[in-house]
Amino acid sequence: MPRLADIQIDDELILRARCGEQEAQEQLYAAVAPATFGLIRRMVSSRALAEDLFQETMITVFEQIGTFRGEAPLGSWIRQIAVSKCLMYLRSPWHRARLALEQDGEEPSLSRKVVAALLQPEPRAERLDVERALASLSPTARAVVWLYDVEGYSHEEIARAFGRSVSFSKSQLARGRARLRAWFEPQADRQPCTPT
Amino acid sequence: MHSDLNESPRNPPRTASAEVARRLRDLPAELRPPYDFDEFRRRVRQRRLRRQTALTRWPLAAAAAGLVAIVAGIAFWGRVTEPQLLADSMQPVTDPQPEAAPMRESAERAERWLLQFPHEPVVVRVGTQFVVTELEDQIAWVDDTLTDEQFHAVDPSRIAALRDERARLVNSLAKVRYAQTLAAQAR
Repeated sequence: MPRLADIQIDDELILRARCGEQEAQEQLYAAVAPATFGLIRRMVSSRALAEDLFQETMITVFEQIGTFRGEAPLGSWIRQIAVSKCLMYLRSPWHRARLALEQDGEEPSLSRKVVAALLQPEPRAERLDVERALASLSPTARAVVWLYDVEGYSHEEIARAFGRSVSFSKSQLARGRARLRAWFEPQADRQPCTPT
Repeated sequence: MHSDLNESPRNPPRTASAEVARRLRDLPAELRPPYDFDEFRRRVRQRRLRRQTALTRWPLAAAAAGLVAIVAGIAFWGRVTEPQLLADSMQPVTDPQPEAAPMRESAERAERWLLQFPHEPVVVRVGTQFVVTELEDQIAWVDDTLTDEQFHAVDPSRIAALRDERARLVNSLAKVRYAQTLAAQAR
């Protein structure tokens, strides 16, 4: 399964889609929609929100495809739009207010700890669920970890995208990775809660 | 874009972090989108339609708001100048104006129309509601005065002047409430 940035789209198809040919647009949608939704779904935890951001992204793609100059692959251009939509949401005042309530990036709230404990799979390392581990991160840390570890963004690029400093990106990545490592640690290695 | 070469010799690649990254990369890159292209096009059309509706509606809403403001302004101006008018009308007159009769009839019709409204509307605009309250208070004051005058039967011409004043206030109130109704429908 190719990542969005790796998808190769025929130039002729792009040209036809730019001219408004419906069949070409449909083919383009079929080619990029699954990877676009995959990326957005990993960047934000809520499915409903991911669907909204996906729609926003695809509308922008078809509205702005006339401005695509072909200097980079179309997939990279669409990825940039999708990431930008996700970060716009993460930077929005509404979301930040919500984050403040949830103590973003700090110790997980009690409710989050309880949910994480309930979601904890059986104590066998191979059964650990990566998706659940990702869901246990704060939205900001989740986006930073995904952009750095999977999409290959540099700290400078992440900092620019978030409008923050490089050290912000590094600290979010370190925090996110630490939490993921803790999640993936085999249960057997953990200290027992009660003396044996 | 970063690469594994970004790791400096002083910070050798940490296997645990690399393992975390590997697990994340192993997640499927593609997910089934929430809808197909036809549904996407339908949603885009629906969104455009909503935008166009909003664009065509706002001038109506603005016009209705403007109308409310004008009528409220007229009613408010009438209230400001009223003490003088009321003082003038309180002067004993021997011959009540014959043209007052149509105004009173119109006021009676307006009053019947006003009766269909609830005493306190559910949604109000503060500006116009202030004018409504003021007019209602003045009508109540004129009603009290009329009752007193009629009870004492002091001066018939003064009673006629009060009735004219009441009719004028009721007509003003009807205009403001009508404008409120138009504004509410335009929203």
